[in-house]
Amino acid sequence: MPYFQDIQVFYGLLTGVFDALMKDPQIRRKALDSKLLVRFVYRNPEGEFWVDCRGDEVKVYPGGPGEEMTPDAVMTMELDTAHRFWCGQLNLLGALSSGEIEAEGSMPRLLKMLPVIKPAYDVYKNMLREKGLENLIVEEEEED
Amino acid sequence: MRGFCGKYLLVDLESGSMEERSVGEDVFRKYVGGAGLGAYLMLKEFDPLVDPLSPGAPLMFLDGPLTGTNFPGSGRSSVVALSPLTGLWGECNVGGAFGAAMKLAGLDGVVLTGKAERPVYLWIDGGKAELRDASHLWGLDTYATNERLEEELRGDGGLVRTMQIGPAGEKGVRFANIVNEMGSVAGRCGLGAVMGSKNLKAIAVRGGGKMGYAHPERAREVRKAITQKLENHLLAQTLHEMGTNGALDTGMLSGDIPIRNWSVGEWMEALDTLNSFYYNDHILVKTVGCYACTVRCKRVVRVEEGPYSMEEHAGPEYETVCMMGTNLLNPSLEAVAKANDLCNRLGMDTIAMGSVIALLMEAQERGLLSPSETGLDFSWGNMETALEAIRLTAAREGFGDRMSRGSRALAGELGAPELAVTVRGLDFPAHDPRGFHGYGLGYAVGARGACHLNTTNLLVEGGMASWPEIGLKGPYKGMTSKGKAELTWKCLSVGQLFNSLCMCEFIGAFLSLNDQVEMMRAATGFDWTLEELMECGWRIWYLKRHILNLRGSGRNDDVLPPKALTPTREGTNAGSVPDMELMLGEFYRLAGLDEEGRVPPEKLDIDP
Ligand code: SF4
Repeated sequence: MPYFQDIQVFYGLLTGVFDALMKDPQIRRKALDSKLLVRFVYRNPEGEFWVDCRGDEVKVYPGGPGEEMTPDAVMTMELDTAHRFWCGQLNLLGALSSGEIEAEGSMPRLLKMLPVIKPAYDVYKNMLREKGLENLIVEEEEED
Repeated sequence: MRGFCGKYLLVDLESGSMEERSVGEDVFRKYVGGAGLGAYLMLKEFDPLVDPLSPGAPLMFLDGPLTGTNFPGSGRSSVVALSPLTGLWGECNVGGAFGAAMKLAGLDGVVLTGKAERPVYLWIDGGKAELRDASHLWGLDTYATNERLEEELRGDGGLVRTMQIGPAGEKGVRFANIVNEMGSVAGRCGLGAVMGSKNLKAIAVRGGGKMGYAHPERAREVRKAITQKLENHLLAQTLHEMGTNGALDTGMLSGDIPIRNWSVGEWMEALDTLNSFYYNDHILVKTVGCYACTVRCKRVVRVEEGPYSMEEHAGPEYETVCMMGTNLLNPSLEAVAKANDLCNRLGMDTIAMGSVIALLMEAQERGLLSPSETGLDFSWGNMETALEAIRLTAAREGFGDRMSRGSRALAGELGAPELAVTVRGLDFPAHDPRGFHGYGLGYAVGARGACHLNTTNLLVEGGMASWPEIGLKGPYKGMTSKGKAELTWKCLSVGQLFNSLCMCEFIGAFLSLNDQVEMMRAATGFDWTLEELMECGWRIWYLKRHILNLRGSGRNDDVLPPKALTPTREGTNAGSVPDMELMLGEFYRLAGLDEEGRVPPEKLDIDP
């Protein structure tokens, strides 16, 4: 049984995470420094989420940008994998090597996003709590 | 020549005599080559109980069956000896092109014993070898030695490849290394001191032969396929673009980085000036690679001006960025580059040297020693002191003499053994077992001490490799000890194989293990299977473990230092420590070791 039946719930969480993170000027600067357009593609349930750091503001597009854009990197995964990632419970390199995440495009540039991702874990988990979804939080022990 | 030449050169430095010793196919089949062959020779031909710095101790430069082929990642070779730092088994896997030149000169290796009366170097030119006077080279740094040898030997053409020691090796610094012409190093275990103890300044080789393959057509196909695979591999591309220091960013995210002598779990700000983006933007001149490598992860750097200015030469790897950067609370990459350059020139392991400096910084902070005792101010991040400490250590001058014995000895003398972060006296590499528990087990049972290359946990548990063909698909969770014994047992075999094939671990990570089998078969003509090669890996580890046992090291030394068992308070690995009892218990059962950690006779596969 997947963590999310309705991808709109996940979109809401992730949009909230980026909104919160971009209030921190340092994190915002780091995200904009990456100048990346990343497309995350999800399966089970299907969907996509774009993060655009190319301009003066970080923009997110839940479900897609609605116009033609060429992403610098595309990362495709099960939505459950994405959820475990944002809970800070996925070995990113391992997921790439094992094919749990398929990636195309510039990995080195994606590395630039790592300082943004680290603080996002806590924000994501807090967001789950705020929305009464704490039962979905994946903690270290769960899969041992 | 098909993978193997079937012989090594045995040199007695005392008498100056040399003879070619043959090695049968059966030996290669069982022990593969490189460090595996070294373990076999150590037990079979030499006395594994001698003092590492005595004339009777052998020093071996050994190739693997893939060295000298044109398969990417195969341009590496092994250096094997007993370690003056740990008093136990010592080995290194070194990049560059020296190993390939040795193979193309018709040798699987060179083994040296005895002590020359005065400084000499060994010159191997195609099929001829001679010992030459090196008194004009003695005292020179490693890069200057290489330049002089190249000038002297270039002669009528053909590239000359060299391995040499610097002043630190001459002076017997316990963690002196051996450096080749590219600034690649046989870094760990102090094998440069072994070379110095023999009055051997350098080995220079000009190949000249041509590598043969048992199945040339198949070799071409295999090379094409793996080259293509590497070209398309995202992590291989990343390694090329970012160098090994790309691991700093991912490591900070996963709790892998040593900070403040392994006491702090996170230092995000350090990424701004130490990470690979900063590296590429500020000090990188170009990328280079080992023999036949298409990934080319190595860096040539220059620092134009300021207190850390350095000429264009080999740049620091990830390990050095941590051990001279984060672990000293030093945020300056330029200072790291300078420290790296100085260590390379003087001929010392940056991991061991960085560890000594880190422990002194902590010791001074704790009031265990004062600037007046050391003559230096070991405040955190003081890189002027770090650079001076490097110089003093290489010369064994003043307090440098105490530093030259390594962190375990120094911490013991200070009455604070807990400040040294070693297993069997070998300093931890820059990968934290609190973030990846299996690393801790790998360090505890690794043949040379705390080492990230003896087992491939770093690749599998860390996430760079996925090998479903041996049941290691991943991804793995770092901060759990459950299941890590089995993972480590398999990773141990693959690690032994890579160090015996002399395959680069990165390239190995990006390929499947069946690719390795294909390369081996095409090169040697042996009909090896993956299962057989895995058996070889374990067989080799048992030999090395037996050497440890003979020298009194077993369960008593399979122990992590207190720092690795003390949780950090911040960062990803906060609160996490490996459960060594659980992992060791399971590992002993899998390996069939007795409760003292000894190899039972039935596991020891070597003729009496
Ligand atoms: S990947 Fe790097 S270390 Fe490995 S063989 Fe290539 S250049 Fe050498």
